[in-house]
Amino acid sequence: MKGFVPLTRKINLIIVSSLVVGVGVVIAYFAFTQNLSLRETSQGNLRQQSDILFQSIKNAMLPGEAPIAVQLFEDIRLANPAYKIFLLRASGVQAFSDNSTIETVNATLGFRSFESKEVFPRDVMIMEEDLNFSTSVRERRPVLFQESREGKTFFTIYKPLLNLPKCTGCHGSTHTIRGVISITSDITPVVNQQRNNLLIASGFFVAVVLVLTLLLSLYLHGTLVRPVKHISQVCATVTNGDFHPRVVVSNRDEIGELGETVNHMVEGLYERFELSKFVSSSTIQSIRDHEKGAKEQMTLFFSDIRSFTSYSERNSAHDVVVSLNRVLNFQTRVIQKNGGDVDKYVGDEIVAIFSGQRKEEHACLSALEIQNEIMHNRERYNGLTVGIGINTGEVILGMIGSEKRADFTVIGDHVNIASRLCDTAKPGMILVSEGVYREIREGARARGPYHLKVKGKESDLHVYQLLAMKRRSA
Amino acid sequence: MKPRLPVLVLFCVVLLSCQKAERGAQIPDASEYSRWEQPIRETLDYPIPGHEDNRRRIFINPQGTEVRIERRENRVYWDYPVGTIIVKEIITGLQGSETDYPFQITAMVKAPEDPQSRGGWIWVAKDVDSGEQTIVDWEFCFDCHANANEPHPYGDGNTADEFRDYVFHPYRER
Repeated sequence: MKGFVPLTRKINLIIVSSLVVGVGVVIAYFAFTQNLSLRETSQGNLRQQSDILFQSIKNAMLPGEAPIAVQLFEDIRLANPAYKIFLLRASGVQAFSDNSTIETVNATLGFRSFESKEVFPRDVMIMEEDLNFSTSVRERRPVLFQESREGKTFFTIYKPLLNLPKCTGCHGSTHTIRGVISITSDITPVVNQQRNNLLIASGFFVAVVLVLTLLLSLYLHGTLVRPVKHISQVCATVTNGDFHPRVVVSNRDEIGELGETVNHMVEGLYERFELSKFVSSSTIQSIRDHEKGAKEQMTLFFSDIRSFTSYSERNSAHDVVVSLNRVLNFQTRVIQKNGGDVDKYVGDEIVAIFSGQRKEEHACLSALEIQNEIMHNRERYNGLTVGIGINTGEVILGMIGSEKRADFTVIGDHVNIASRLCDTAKPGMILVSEGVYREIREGARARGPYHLKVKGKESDLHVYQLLAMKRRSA
Repeated sequence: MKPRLPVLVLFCVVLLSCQKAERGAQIPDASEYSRWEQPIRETLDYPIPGHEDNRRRIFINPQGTEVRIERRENRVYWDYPVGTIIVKEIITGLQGSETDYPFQITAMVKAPEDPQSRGGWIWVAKDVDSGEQTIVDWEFCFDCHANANEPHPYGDGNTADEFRDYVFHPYRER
């Protein structure tokens, strides 16, 4: 078969693609949502912490207690090293790193309310160019972002500290942002967990797909592929003429039904095959061609065993059947060898038909061979002899009979004449009509014409006794 | 079979999009709010954090004039009805004409049920040039206006420490 694609490959393709898509989507969804949830939880925690810190710092700084805020930052840093917390001015410089705010406040108040400080932090944080920081200051809103550096991942939130109306008394009203709280949280463990989740999900996905593919393949191979292959093998064997194999039906499903149907079909085919031995080739051909009836030129060959009734009375039934079948078998073989078709057996009589360009010659050659064999081998046929009549002409071919039982056979006047010639022929004699003789006389040796009175015919028929004949070259 | 499902999905998407666009507070046109009452007639021309060196004009819609004032547990509470809109025009510079156009319009819309509200108000800012409108759902507006509920340096200063419902210049019947 051209472009043959095995069922196994198609099924495996369907299984694998279904599993990859189905299981993949589910696992990817769960891995994605779990990672998203982890991320959102981390962000939420950071926002919450920044809110709490924001409120603490805001309230601590209100009454001019900046040192409390500074100490708060230090305490948080010490308590949780995973967090880096800074308060930056809008300019990006770490707050409380110099006296500029104190000087601004004193200037706004108009008197020296706060004393300048002498000691400042050693490592002052100065924000370099940072788009997120400048966005937070410009848009006056918190900005949360993720960044990776030195193999670690951090969430950072910048939260502007507003210059509230109640602060303007000391800090003035000309600016909106007093500072920006920067909180950085190391989320490397979370990121690692996300990566591990993905790795585990991928591994799980591969394992599930492999195991399910294997199990489904085995199952489908057992329930679908193997039975179909078995049915295919049975069909192939039957096609080659062996009607004995049967489908072993073990499935209780459509495949099982198919197997039973194939078995019934094979049994039916076998029966028809056996029956075809008892039916003429023309009958089979006519069934194939759905023929209803036709007129054709044919040569009719009738052969009948002489004195068969008395023979059957003298011999046992078994011997009769054996002898009869031997004679009929031989005649049939000769007729078929010469291109004839046995139309039917009527008791000890054979009715055969020949068609084609040299039908008369073929029928006569068959008759001569039969008579020679039987006459020269009398013992083999228990002394049985045959008389043969041959006629040629237009006959009617058709399915004759009822809807229940019918034969595809020949009828017509020429058939009756051939039968009459057969009845007239003595043992070992071949009688042919004038029409037959006309076609074979070159190379044939015959006696006649004799006049034969036929019932229903006004004038006598001219008939010849065929004695010998040469086979013409093809 | 006609492709009904994609059409249905598209219809739902369009419908949801429309609903989303209609959600949230909208700042009314100047032609509308300019007819409203002004809680404070003068243009505010002193610098404040949030608006820096820019002037402000304030309008309140008719619902806002129905503000309820009541005393509970030794404190006075102001409660603006749902639907109140207070519009604040922001005009460039501390000096200028009364006919100067604002570059920004902000509004407080009383909608306590709205998930975007803070302190019962939705805070909206509109850039006049671009027409872009933003709901300020972070601390900025809310934190500042929270000072209106305690003594502050603006208007009457709320020296009585009343709960002013986040409004620095409360509406008073004249």
